[in-house]
Amino acid sequence: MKSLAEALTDQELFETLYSETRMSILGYLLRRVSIPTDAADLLSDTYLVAWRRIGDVPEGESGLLWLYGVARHLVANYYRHERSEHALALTLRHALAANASAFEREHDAPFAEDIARSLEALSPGDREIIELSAWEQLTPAEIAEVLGIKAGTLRVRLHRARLAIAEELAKAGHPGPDRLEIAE
Amino acid sequence: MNKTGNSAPRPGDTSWVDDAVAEIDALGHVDLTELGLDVAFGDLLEQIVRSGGPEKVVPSRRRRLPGKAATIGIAAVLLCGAGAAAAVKGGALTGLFGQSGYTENDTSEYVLATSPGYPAVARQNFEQLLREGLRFAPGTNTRHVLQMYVSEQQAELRTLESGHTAAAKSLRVHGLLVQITGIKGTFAGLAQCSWQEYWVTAYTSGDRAEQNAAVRGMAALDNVITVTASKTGTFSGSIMAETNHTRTLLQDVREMKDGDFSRIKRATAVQCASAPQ
Repeated sequence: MKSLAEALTDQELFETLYSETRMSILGYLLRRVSIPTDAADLLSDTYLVAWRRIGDVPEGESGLLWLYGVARHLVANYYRHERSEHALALTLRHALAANASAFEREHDAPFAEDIARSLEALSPGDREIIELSAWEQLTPAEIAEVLGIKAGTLRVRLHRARLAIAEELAKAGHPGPDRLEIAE
Repeated sequence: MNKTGNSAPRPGDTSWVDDAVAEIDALGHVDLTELGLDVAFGDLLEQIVRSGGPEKVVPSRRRRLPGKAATIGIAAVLLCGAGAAAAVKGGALTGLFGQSGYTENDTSEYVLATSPGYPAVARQNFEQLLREGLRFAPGTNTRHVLQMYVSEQQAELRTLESGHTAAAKSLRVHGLLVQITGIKGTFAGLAQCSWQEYWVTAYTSGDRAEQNAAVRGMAALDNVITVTASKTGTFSGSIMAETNHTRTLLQDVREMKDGDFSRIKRATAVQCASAPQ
């Protein structure tokens, strides 16, 4: 049996991890699940895994990357219907439901449909790489850690995925970096 | 200035693509910190910590089960016997069942997905669902569906095990447990994918009759009642309801009826990218 001091340390570690990462993980889930209340359940599942395996969670910033890895698998299971709904996240479900309008996905940016279409044309794996880079703002090394692949391999895949999107956008008349420069 | 901090992109530099993709970030206009979620976050933290303690390291191939601390202790003891039996027979069934009222809420049996006996268990449950009325869209080779599910699932497990993450290490040490209901839910999901893809094809070709057939096929998934073993006997229910998927299934059915092509196409691309045909 663990001593009280050890138990407290586990809880303190978990609470620190939770408070420092919960917004990032919630954001990750909200971007990938169209129903905000389902994101609340997945957030709950993610941190349940982290709490039970707190001894496996790496320290420092790698803790967030470890959580992205857990959340990623839970999202995959969610789309395979292998998930359970439970009462732990009841309050958060209500809070997110109350803010549901904030998460409606209407994009009015020019070329938004073309960008979405070019993203969908990628393989699921490459799409995840681009999304982690563009939305979660992770570096290639961090993405490689989340996905459990070598950084060199990741850089090649990231570059190819970007090229594929750039080519698709060029076909759609997107001016590439020029438009973004002007927009600044 | 783009994400990399360069005001003028170099020739061949594609990092601007990230900025373009960021323009369709669903949360691009949302500041989560302004949504007043602190109380809800605090409540969730309390619930998680109260749900049970961190797991102790379980030696050998004894996989830890979700549930409260007391459940974990019982499960570890039980799994000693089940693990020994599995080692002899190469079987995947553990004799361990989920408990209603705990975080899993699913009372079906735990199966060791990393066991050599797992494909046989998957086949058994797939065939049972077909007998119980699970139907795929016309043209779907159900034998191929099962073969692809098993081979892709095993390949995915090997990939996950070979990584360098803590999750990969944990998988190598403990194996992976899934519940029977989850396996059945996956097959139901693959059936749903077959109907969605059928509908997308029918919509693209303007075939209204086949679109309607796809809608009926999808809706019928909610009527597939499956019988599953539990520790105290059996329980039965709609496979979609058992996997908490009725709501999203019916939403997809509504959108198909409404002819929301872009939404269904997007959902199919996301959910069914690796679904076997």
